[in-house]
Amino acid sequence: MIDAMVSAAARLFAGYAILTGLGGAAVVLSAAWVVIRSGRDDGLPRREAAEDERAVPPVSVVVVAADEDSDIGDRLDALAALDYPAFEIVVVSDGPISPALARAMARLQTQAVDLIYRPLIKTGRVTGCYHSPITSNLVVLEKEPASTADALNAGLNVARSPYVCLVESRTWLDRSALRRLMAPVIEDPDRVVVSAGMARVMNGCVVRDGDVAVGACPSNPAVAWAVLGGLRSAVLAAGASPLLGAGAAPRGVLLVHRTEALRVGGVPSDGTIHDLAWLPWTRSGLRSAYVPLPVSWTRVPATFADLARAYRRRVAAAVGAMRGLWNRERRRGEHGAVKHGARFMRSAWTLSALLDPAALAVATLGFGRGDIDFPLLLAVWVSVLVGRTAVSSVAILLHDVTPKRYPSSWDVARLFLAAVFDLTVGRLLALWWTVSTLSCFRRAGPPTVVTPLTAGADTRS
Amino acid sequence: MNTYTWWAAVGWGVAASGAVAAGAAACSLAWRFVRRSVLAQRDVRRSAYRSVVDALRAAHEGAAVPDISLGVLADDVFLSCLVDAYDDGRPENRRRLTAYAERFGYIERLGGLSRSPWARHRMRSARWLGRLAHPDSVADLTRMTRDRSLRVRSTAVTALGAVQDPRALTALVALLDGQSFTVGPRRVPASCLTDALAAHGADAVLSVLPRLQSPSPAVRATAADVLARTPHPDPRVRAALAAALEDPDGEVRARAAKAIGRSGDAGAAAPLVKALSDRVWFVRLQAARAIGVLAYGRAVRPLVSVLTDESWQVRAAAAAALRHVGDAAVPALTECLFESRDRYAKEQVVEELQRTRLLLEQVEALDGAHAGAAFVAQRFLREMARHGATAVLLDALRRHPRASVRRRLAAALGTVDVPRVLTVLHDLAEHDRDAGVREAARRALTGRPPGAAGGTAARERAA
Repeated sequence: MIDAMVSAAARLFAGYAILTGLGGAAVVLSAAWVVIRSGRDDGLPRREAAEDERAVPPVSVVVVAADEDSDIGDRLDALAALDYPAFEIVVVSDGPISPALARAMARLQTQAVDLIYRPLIKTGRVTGCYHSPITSNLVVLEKEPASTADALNAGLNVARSPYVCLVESRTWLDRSALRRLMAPVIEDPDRVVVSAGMARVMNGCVVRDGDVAVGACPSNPAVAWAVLGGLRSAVLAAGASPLLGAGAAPRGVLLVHRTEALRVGGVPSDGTIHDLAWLPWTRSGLRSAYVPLPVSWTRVPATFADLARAYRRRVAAAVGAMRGLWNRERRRGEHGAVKHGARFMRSAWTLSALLDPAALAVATLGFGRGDIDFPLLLAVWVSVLVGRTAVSSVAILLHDVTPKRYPSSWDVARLFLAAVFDLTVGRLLALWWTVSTLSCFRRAGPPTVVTPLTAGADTRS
Repeated sequence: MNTYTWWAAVGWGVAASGAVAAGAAACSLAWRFVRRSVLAQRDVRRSAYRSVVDALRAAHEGAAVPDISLGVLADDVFLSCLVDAYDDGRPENRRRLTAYAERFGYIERLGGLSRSPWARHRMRSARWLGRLAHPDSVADLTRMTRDRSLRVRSTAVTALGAVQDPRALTALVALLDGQSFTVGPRRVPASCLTDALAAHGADAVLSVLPRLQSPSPAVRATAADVLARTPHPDPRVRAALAAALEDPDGEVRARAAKAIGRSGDAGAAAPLVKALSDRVWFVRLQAARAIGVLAYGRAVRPLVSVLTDESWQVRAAAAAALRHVGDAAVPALTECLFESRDRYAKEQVVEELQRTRLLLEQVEALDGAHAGAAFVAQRFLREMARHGATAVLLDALRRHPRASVRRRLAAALGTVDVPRVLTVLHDLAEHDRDAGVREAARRALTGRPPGAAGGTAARERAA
């Protein structure tokens, strides 16, 4: 019996490895097709964007200001310079306004105003509203501290535009981000309700006149590995989005249709903005779009120790999300597809760090026992190694054809070295971090289920 | 387990992944190398050609032109250097550029290229003919406006806009009449056509004006767009735009409103008032913006009513327009807040006004030289505070640098029955650095009607 189970497991893992390889190939081909089809388009043409407000809907940019966000002032200046005809900026301070944000508000001469706050999604109490007469499209909300998701939902409540660009804390928006994100929406406004783009690493870049200017690819191995990771996420998102109709959005920024986001109750209380990437699965006829152009920039940890900490936090969050799959209360509800889709993707991401090495190990064991023959073993090793290398290689080639690519050939060489590192040491590090996190994971309390108010409820706070 | 076989599998896997990575790296590096080489060679040629172009510029008109090889003439880099050197808007340089284009045979060569089977070549031909803007290229450009490639058609239309020749304008107007930008496989983007017509300036206006009566809504809308881009003082234009505000198509009405706003003619603004109550939101938006640009004071009451529009963009445009109108808008706003029975409408009005600088400007007007304006501002601010806009006013009450403003603001807010206001007045009555402000705050609190919230306690405390 044990022999049969081991034999079955060996074949199962071999099948997993081959299917993953084929799936990766399909995603890579899909991503290549998306890039080729998008051609040299850089988002919405400026002439149309400047002239026709009816064809170019306004966008509300919701930014969460974290307490330790020291460059929030510079980010606000960059946001004010966005290349889009009609937008407003909503900054939500989750907790008391930080000194950095207060300095920026003083510079922009913001003043307290009494805006009507309609909690279409239940959030923590909003304790203050501020508006800048200089940058007339800037509103700052101060609310009771809760969570980033709660802050984003408060921003969703206050946003006036039909489309909302949700920006995570410490993320810079590219100057052309809104034009790029809105281009697929304008092309198909009835169906596209979610739009995402490439998230790039900001380490080694400088900000000039509110726009991120690319320098050299950092030679720091941890950062180069993170850069490659970001490019890999972009390829997988670009490829998965047309195949699934909804998709995993890279970190940083997501553009959503406000009414649809309110319909599903906004950002889940235990989730992030990427959970809304599954919005198209909540109703037929909707789809998401991924734009293979840089839209956001984030700084990544510069040491492996910090990378490990960030990785472990993501694993812990993913495990917490996976537990929700087994929670009957949380499965109920009209919009489970948003939460379950997100949970599934996070589970897959966590498990892939375990399953890939496990597939190789079990295939080796099966080969040793005679359960797997040489061709199958070869297929497993080729699928796992070549699959990952192909995604990394296509990611680097994708970066080569996008704006704001690293200028030098040495940068490309560093990225390919990072790909070699990723395939060898990187997988082992990821495996170690995942296993150590899972073994130390403590059961957390059940998350609070927030019942959304009916959209249109006119409750004054 | 056959260890050798296992290592063979691993080795093949590593070799395959290495081959994939090496192939991708080679592609990437080759692409960068080729691109860098092409750009570097282009820079070298550009530097060399600049000296040739400088020699041409130094030569007098009609003088012998230095020999230039066919290879150089066929190079786009040389052509771009030549055009960049002379395309500065000055008529004499334009004449010289035209002469060189004829002498070097560019018009014939590019005209021949316009018949190429490759769309890329035809587009290149259209682009350069547009930059050279030679009158003899009109026929070729007109033919290319019916090309099977959209990019070629768009480039040709843009090029016709650059050729300041009546035949080019005729061709563009014919395109407009043919509605080629609306439907069909040979359409032209409307924005291209509008840009091209607008580039002809005043000449286009009188040609396009009759198209405002075209049976096609798309033609009328484009005609209105052209008029918006090229303001013209002719009274027929004003009359035609006023008539276009009654057009059955919303796009036409919106663009006509925009055109009136851009004309800068305040006398043409009267018909915009009716457009503020149009059934289509973007017509109302353009009308509100146009009224704001023209600072048309007679539209104040309609603008105030638009502050409760269902579209926030229209509301914001109306609020901005009221701010442009200035002090003349304040009495109507005050009256709206005082008399309207719709609480939600009033809250919407207050919210929109808080997003403009109007409140701060009225706070400054409290201390203005004109007593009437100060009185009006006082009434307005009192009503705003009554309807919830206290944060801005209390901030001014606490922090305004001029004591005279704080005194008058305290007097204005004295009758506002809002707990936050009373709290700040109490605070001012005891702690403000200016004696006059303290006295004004005390009077504001003690002068409250009997039974008003905090009134009795305030009087006792003051005593």
